Amino acid sequence: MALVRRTSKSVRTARRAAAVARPQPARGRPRPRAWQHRLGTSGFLLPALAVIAIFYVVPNLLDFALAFTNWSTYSSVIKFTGLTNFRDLLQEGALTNDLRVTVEYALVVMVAQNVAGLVLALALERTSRVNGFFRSVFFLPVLISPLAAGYVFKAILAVNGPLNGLLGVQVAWLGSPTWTIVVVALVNAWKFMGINMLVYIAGLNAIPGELVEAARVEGASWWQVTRRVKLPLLAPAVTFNVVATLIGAFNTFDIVFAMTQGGPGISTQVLNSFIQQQYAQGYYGYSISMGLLLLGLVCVVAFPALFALRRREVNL
Amino acid sequence: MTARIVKYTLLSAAAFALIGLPLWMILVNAAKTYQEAQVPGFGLPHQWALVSNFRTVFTEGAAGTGLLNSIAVTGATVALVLVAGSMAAWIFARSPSRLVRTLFYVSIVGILIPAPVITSVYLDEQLGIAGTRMALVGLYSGVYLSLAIFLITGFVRTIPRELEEAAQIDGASRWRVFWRVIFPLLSPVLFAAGILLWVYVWNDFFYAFFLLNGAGRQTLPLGLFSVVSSNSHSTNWNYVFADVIVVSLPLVVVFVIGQRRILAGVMAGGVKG
Repeated sequence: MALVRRTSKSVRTARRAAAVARPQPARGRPRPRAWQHRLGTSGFLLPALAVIAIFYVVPNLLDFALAFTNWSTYSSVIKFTGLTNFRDLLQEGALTNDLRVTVEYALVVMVAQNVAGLVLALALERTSRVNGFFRSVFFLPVLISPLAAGYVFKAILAVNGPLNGLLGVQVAWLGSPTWTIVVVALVNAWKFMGINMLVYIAGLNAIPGELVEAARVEGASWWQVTRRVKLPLLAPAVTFNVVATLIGAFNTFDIVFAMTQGGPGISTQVLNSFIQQQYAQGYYGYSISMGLLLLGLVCVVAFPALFALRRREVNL
Repeated sequence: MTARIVKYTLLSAAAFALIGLPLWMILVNAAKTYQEAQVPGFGLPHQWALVSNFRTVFTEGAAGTGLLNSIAVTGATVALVLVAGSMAAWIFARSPSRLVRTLFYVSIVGILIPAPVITSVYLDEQLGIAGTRMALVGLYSGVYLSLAIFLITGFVRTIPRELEEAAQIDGASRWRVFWRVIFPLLSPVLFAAGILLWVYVWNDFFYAFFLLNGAGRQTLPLGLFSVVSSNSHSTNWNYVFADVIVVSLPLVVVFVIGQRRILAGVMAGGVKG
């Protein structure tokens, strides 16, 4: 045992010596001794990694364990129940309904928020005093809490509310099993379009001016410059915005909770609404099993995005 | 020229309809009496009750407690995330080690995948911190360190190594190099990340709704929810709108003061993101 330890230690020492002996690339800066260096490294990483491990990684791992249990307020022990929770989700129809509602919601949000953000960005691309003013105005909703935004629009869209008054109609904006989900998604897009606008403006400003100039000199119209030069070069910003809005919308809760609480019926019940309701009723394990499905849905979009992110990271 | 006029006319119309009207809605209805706000609308109040509504929201609705809790939770989260995040980001940007690189990717997964809420409650029960503000700060930090580390690491890579080396040659310890040389240089990215984090955490309802227990620990969005649900027969819209102002005003005021820097900072963050 002692022999083994001594050997491995001497190997390590030898390796360290080799590392020190190796010529330093570039400007041969003085290096502190390796163990000191390593201690410093872990010291700097530790606070962040500890917080991430405890409060982020552990709950995510617990998801995989507790989703397969009967954990609830109604039983004193937590028992492994296999796929029972998922079978119930499927049989009660919550799975198919809530998944469909969430994906529909996310698609509407993704399209509306990006179209609005892109149109605003193309209009306000150039930095000037008046454009700065409009950028600030359209960014304002980002600062309002989504719960508050939901309540404000619930009041605006009420059947006897001011929007119908203005239009002279009696539309039940929040009472349609088919269309209310779209209305709520549009409120989400309203709330966050300012972020997309800024990302697109940043992307547009990163396009070399000569390219646009060259196209103009060749006689290209505004539309041709936009369509043929700017939009293709905006691809990274588009990818980022599409992924970010999709993932954000999959995880929606506050706006739906404020505006419809999942209704009428269960027509606007998104995954997080279901999770909250089951949790409130004390069915914790059942609630977590839906949480695991949400995690899966996010991963389907997130992992391809992560690889794209990684590629760009390497390019930096 | 005509194109410009058309463009700015359309922008003004959109700004008026999409931003102006909802803001107007909040302001006028926060100033109405209970009876008049039964059906909230765009009309001016016949009887002004703005001050008394605010008083009620602060005395009965505990907006004061909410304000203090929101400042405490958001402040603690942003400070923890920026300090711990910068320390880690410095290593992530400089270390050639494979292990460190792997840890970097693990650390930034939270940008895409959020923390699961129910198992966080379970974890807090096991740790004996269930329902506390500390638990909420822990959850926010665990998730948002990812974004901070990603943004700050990208920024550190743009800082020339020579600066650190000069200090090292002068005999400064790594600790000193970090705090005296690196950390001060990070201020642009810390500002941008701090703004984003502050907005996310300040406005969050979802996680606070699950993780906090007790009226004394309520943050502002939770307070807004209790104002909405306080009257079981009909909504007290006048108090709801007054409370919407209380929740939103701190961020809006800060934004109006620093809008140019904030927008530039968020845009710089967006490019990196």
